[in-house]
Amino acid sequence: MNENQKNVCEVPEVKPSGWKELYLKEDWWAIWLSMGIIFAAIFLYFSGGSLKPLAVTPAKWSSLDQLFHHFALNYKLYFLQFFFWLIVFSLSSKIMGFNLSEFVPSFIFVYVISVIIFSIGAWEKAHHYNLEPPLVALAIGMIIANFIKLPKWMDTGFRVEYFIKTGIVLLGATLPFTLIIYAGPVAMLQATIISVSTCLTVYFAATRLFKLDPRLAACLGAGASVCGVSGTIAVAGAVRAKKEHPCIAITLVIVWAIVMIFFLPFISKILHLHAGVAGAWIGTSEFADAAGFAAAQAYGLMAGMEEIAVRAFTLMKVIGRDIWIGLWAFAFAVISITKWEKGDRLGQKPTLKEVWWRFPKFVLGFFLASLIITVVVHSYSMNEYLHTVKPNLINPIKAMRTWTFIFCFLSIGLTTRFRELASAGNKPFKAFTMGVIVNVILGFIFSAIIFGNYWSTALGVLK
Amino acid sequence: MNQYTCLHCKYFRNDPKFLEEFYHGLNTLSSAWGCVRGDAGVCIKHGVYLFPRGKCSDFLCTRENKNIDNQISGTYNVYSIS
Repeated sequence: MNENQKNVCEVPEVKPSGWKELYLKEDWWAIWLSMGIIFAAIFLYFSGGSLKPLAVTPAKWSSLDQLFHHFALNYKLYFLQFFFWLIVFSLSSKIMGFNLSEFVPSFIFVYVISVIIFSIGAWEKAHHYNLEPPLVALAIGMIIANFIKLPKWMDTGFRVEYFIKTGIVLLGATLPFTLIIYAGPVAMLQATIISVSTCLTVYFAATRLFKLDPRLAACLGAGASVCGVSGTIAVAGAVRAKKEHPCIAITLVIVWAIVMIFFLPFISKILHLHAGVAGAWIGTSEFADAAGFAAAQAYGLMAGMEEIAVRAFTLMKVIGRDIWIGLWAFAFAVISITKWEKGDRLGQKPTLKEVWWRFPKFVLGFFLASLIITVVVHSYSMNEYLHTVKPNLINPIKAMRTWTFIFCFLSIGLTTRFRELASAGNKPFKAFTMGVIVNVILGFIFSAIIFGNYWSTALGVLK
Repeated sequence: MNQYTCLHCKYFRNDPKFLEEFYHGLNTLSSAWGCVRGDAGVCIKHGVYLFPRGKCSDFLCTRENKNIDNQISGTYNVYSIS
């Protein structure tokens, strides 16, 4: 090879994904899909119909005869719903680069098991035995993943994040925008205080006490305080972490997140916490959106106030923590370049544009969905809202959201294979655990004591 | 200084499917298809996970199709900045 050839690298088409993320990232697809459902629901409502047939869910039952009768009556609607989900998720996944021959059979598996889980949750005595659908989905998924070896290609259809992001945008449509404006700042304040405290605890424990690499400490701190695995991945890239650092943080986040899914709802139940208080606590002390929704919904169902728990959690986690991921990554990038590496890498100066590109865009869909529905229902009286709008417009959207959440909770279980997780090591485990302890205690103090009255009274706004 | 960053380098891998296989558990509570990852990926030469805006003396151009949207085309030759 001559010298000229050696010095040529003609790759003009190789560019950052940039605005191509509009069709390459699941954040955007979650928005497109959810907005399609919301606009269809609005259109059908104003046409005198409803999205209800597509949003069919198992009815409450006390005997198997009742359950079978329900499916015998509604099997066509379930087929309709199944094909709807299959088509929209398959098409969008195909465009994002997934293999349809893997996705389709895998999603069929997810849907069938989800119907069973939903049916268990609709059992009259499910509540008595703590068979809340999120916990059942997680348990069934983990049993299958760890004791029955499914082919690895089936992971293609277990899209935890895609399902939960779609559900969060749909959730926006059931959350009054006025509530976001009213409670959002309190959530931001509480979440920021606790996130910063937790992150600093993990960081200083890791670096000062256990003498770990500051880049690993940053990954652990972000995982414990910002947004679990997503926070870890965002910050790992910003600090140019060693390739094994994210593995360690991912393992610790998953293990603690799974523990918290069960721990927080059951402790909340023992303490008889108000659903709003528990939701806020889970919002500050769970590590990832998907795990947190599982915990919040489970406790909401236990307390008989599902919507309140989910609302408090959403405000705290999505508005209080998720939207700051890009800023955290930017701050860590600046610290990394100026303190840890002192300019030994070229062309890597972080820019504020990174904050936008790393912003979890599905949050925009969440705000937009809330705004659209708030405007649509604004002119109705409370009586009209409760008797006409809610059953025919809001509840079907909520039912569609519940389906995506169950797909998500089941997928968490199905992808949690403990034997595959990297070994975290003693020191990172201890540093992370110290952060978890600080986080859980501070989260409880702020949610139940300092803002306890606020979280137990502020979330009952209907429209 | 060359104009190319990690994004054009043979050693840089940011295909989402590769990343989810590389990092076990990434798809359990997150995703390589999420916006928060951006275009970040793994440099298999230096063993680091990073955003693809960097440049270094080990840069190696490649024909390998590894861009995030699998749409790379063009002429690829070995590039050396030395």
